[in-house]
Amino acid sequence: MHILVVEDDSTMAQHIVHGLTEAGHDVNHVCDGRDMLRAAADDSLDLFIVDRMLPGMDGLSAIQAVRAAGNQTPVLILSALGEVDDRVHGLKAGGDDYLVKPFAFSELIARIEALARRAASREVNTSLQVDGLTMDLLGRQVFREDIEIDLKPREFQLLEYLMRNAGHVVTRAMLLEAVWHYHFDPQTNVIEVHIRRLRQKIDKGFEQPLIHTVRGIGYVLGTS
Amino acid sequence: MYWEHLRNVWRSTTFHLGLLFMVLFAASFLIIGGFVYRQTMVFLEQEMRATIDVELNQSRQFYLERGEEIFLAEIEGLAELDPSGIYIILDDACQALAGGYKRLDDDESIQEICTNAPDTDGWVLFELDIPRGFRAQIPEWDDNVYARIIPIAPNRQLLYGRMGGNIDSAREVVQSALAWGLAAMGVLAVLGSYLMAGSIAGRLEQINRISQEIRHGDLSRRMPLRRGSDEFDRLSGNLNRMLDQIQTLMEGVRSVSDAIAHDLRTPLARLRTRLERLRHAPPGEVESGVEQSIQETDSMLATFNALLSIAQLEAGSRRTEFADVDMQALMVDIVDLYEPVASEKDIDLRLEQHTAVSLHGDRNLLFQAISNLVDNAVKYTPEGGRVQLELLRRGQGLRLMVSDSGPGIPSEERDRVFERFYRLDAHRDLAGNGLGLTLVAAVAKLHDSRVELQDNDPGLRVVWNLPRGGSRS
Repeated sequence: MHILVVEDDSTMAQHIVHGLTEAGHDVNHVCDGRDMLRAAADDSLDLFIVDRMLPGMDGLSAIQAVRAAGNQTPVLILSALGEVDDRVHGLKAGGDDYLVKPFAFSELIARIEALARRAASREVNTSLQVDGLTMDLLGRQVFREDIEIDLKPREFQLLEYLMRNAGHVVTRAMLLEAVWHYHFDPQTNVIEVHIRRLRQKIDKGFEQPLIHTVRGIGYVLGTS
Repeated sequence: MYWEHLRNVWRSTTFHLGLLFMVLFAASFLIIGGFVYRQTMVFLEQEMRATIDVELNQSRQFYLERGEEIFLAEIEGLAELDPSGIYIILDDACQALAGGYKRLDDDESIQEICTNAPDTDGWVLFELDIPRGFRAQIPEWDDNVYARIIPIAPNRQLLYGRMGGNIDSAREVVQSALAWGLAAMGVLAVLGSYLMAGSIAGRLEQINRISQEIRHGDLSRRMPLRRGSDEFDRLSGNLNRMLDQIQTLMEGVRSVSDAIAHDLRTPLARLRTRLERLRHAPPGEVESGVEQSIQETDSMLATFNALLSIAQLEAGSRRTEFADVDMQALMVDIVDLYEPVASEKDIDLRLEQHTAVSLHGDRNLLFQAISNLVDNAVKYTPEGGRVQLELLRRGQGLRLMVSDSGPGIPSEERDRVFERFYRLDAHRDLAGNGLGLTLVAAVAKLHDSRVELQDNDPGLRVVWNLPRGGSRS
């Protein structure tokens, strides 16, 4: 992926650029909103990572300007905690996702990859298929190797999100936001228990497990 | 020191008001006194004139009945009988023929008085020049003589006069009473104003002095209270309550920073020890060690994030995400999210009573707060217990309850559990950062409400009464 990082803090920028490059991405870095507008003209960009607070033109104004120019490239906004109420403003300004500093790097990776996939698969599916697992989105049915699996509505939503992001790590926070639509920080690992239940239904009786836990980060669906 | 006090009093508003009051009071005193004085004088003078008229009429009657010869003989005797009266028979040319008293034998002065009698009715007021020795014999005699001259026969006038002793002494009495009264009032007013100003200045000075001591760092000082409840006591009471609040806040800040230092030092120290050990550890151990270190760092970061969120909430600046929240749906979501965790512990988690009710608030924060409550309830309730959620309409707002069958919280600790990092001793080994209920309290405060902990007998019941809050936008 070709990513533009807009971040004025050099340590933070270095950290992000280094991490993303290591994860196999092609990363450019600029320091303020004006440079971001100039760089945004590059069609090959797949994603922007924009810090909320920038010198000169601030992050949100820069994003608005990019969107106003008709650019639909996904944007992930970074914000330092303490800048209140930014989430809603950030998403309204045209951001696609929002991450509060300090964050785990795995969370950033998981989120930008999910963003890129979302942008890539804009077509409407009626069914999803991952390694012998089939989800009929219209009939609300799930089959594994032709055996129907009975899922509760919430389990269905969880599995749908995992299947849409098959092969990629999704974090617990991402699942909470996508399935429960709440942005919050659960004290105990409630998500893990939900996944455990889902796993019981999906993987029990099959030799090859589909749902895997990535320690300290989240979950991934797929055989590999 | 004393002069300083005196100068303060002299400059004080109270003293000036006291003096102004004194001036006004003295003016009204003078008006009333003057009126009484005048009325008394008029009355006494009328009395005197009436007496003189009676005497003159009787004398004229006597003269007309008995003839001049007997009258003239008689009049000398009359003058002797009535020492404060003066009888004189004059002719038209004001020549004294008989009567008078010893000192008025002087024809010239009589003639002068008679000729110059100013009044058309014959009234005349004159002064007698009485020698000292003579006055001593007859004390009620006086310099002033009220007299009237009337014609009683052709070429005959009768003068009858009386010493004004009564009137004059009355005048003197009233005048001196007024003067003394005024003087006493002046002294009392100055003294009173001084004392009053002194007492008020003293009490204000006390408040000033204590304020200064507090400003210099002794926050335990309080304004003195008297038994009464005058405006100074009320002022002092209010100041004291304000100081109590400030002290509580300051202690809160202090204990928070102590708690932060304490609660974060332990994991940091642990982290450091682990990293130090990893430096020389075989490669196989490094990976898991780093993994553990990252987890520990994450949990510290989570603690910091929670602290910052609480601080933000307590500052009350996070109302821009307020919108109408369907509380029933939110409660259903909570139960849905926590039901698997509960059922793993064989805990019966259910939404017992609920009603469709919405509320103006922050959806994510409300969810976070209620999930903290449910999280706690599930965490502390032993296996096989029950956790019950209720959502009821209550007046203009709604009541939200989370009841469990766990060990509960001793009543004396129920307020403290809302403090940052406060954890019951019995639960220190369980996971948690001691900030869950603090965040709940902060969210409740942001929504103009309060969370109460009650005895569920057995267990804990959390009662949260929330206003609908639609008026605020």
